[in-house]
Amino acid sequence: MEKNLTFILWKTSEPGIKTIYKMVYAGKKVIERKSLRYRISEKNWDNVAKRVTSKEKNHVLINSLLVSTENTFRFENSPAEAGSDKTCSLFFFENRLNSTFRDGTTKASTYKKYSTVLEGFKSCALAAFGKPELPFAELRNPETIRELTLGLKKSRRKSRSKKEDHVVFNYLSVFKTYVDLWNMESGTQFPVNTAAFFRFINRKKPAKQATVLSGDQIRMMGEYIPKGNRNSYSETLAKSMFLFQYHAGGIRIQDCLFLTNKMFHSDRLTTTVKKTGGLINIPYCFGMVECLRPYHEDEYRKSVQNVRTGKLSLPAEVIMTLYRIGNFDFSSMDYASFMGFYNMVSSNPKYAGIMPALETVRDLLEKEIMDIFFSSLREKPEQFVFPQLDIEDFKGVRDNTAKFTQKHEYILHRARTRHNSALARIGKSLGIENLTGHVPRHTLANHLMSEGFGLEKISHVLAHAETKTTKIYLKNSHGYTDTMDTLKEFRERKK
Amino acid sequence: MFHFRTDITDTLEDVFLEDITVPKGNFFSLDELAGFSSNEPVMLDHKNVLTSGLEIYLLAIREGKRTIPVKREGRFSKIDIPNLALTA
Repeated sequence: MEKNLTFILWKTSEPGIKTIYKMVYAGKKVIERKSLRYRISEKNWDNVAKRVTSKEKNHVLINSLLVSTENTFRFENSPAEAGSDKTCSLFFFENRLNSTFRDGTTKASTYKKYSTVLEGFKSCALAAFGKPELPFAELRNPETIRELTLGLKKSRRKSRSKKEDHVVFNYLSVFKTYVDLWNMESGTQFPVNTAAFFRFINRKKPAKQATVLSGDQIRMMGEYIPKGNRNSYSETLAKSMFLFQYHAGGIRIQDCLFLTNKMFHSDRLTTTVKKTGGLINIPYCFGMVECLRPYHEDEYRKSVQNVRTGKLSLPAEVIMTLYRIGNFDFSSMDYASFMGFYNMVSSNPKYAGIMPALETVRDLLEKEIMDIFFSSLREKPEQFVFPQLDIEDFKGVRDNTAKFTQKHEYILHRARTRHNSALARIGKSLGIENLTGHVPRHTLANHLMSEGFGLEKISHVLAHAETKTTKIYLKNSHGYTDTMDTLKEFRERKK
Repeated sequence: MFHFRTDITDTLEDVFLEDITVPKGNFFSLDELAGFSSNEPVMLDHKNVLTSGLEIYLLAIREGKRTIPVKREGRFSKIDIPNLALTA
């Protein structure tokens, strides 16, 4: 027997105030009765239309809930309706979003973002067409798309500022995904032309270069000391993570937050790339030790104490240089005293001839320290190497972001926000604009490019799923193309 | 007339340290060299490349010496390999 839906009012303890109930019935038999948790004044209820009148305080909200409940019921109980172009596209969007969130194929963070998009469309449809509905058939009408685009531009924030075109474009792109899905699944003979969704948006805007730090700016970052005590810890942490990302193949901030000490193997760091899946291996460099040092001081002290120049196995040529230097007993020097000597000598161009030998000693000392440091780091109980997140909060889910609940997403979001705020403060002090957790990736990509590495190799380092993403990093954001190499070669040949 | 060179010899001669070429690929630690002592002479081949006694050579540099006594090896010097395999 066919099921029907209606809304009824149910008494409350207050006289004249009733609660709206949804009631599903088949013939005379009531199958389901459930409160919608809205209390209204009985006199504001239109019992024929089954809607609240405009005298009720929250009439728009309540009526949209009633429409949405009706749509859900219609969709769930008449499968044929799903294929009809009279179906509400927003309802289809909502229904599909909820079901994919329930089965775990949509992440909590995506669900939250898409829900915001959906709310935007609903309020836009309500303002433009007087009801929060948008049948697929209507989407074939260019005037509907124009109204939607204009409606989406209006911000729902208090400031009433307009949304930028790229934001509206993103909203429409999300909506397009679901309409395309309906085109594919509904079996309709007249699919909605989703390419036409963007015809009222002007996406052209002047190319803006993403922030990329020069080698000197990277050094400045390394030497940066936070001013005052208030933000000292967060800025030091942000600085350490920023530089670590740069030294560790430009790993994403999310991957950096989830780095555990057990990922540090004898000769490399192996970490999972959460965004694209898979693993990435990163060889060690001393810069990584420097970044981890403030949070693993005992391991660092232990490694430095055990390393002395006298114990190193040095090439005979290097020993010849060291023996030529009078007044210094290298065999008893530890890393700190050697580096003191190294820095003193390197600042004087007179001693340029002995620098290659000193660099060899420095590299060997650092290699020894790295070996001991990373092996003692690995022996510690499992923990995140940067103290932004607590490993206990992500127990059992940290390898699979799809398992993240809203609480996990919130903690992660807060950590990212803290990190970016601290970086913004550092950027302000150093005079670097738009310093964010993504800048190390752009910086490394561009440094690799300027050193002559090809697109394919850079793409592998950054763990991009496709080289076209790397092109966005290099070409679209920084104007790097083959013309750079061609012109360089051309000028070399002309000399 | 044949003229015999006298570069195949058992006698020691003083050679400037900077005239000696050191072969690549030899590694030592400073601690190891600090405790090193030997009576064996430094050996050079016919191209002044050091063939043995590198430690003595390095210590001579540390002591600031300008020359070092060496024993020269010619291209056709007898090669002395202890016959361990047959005596075992």
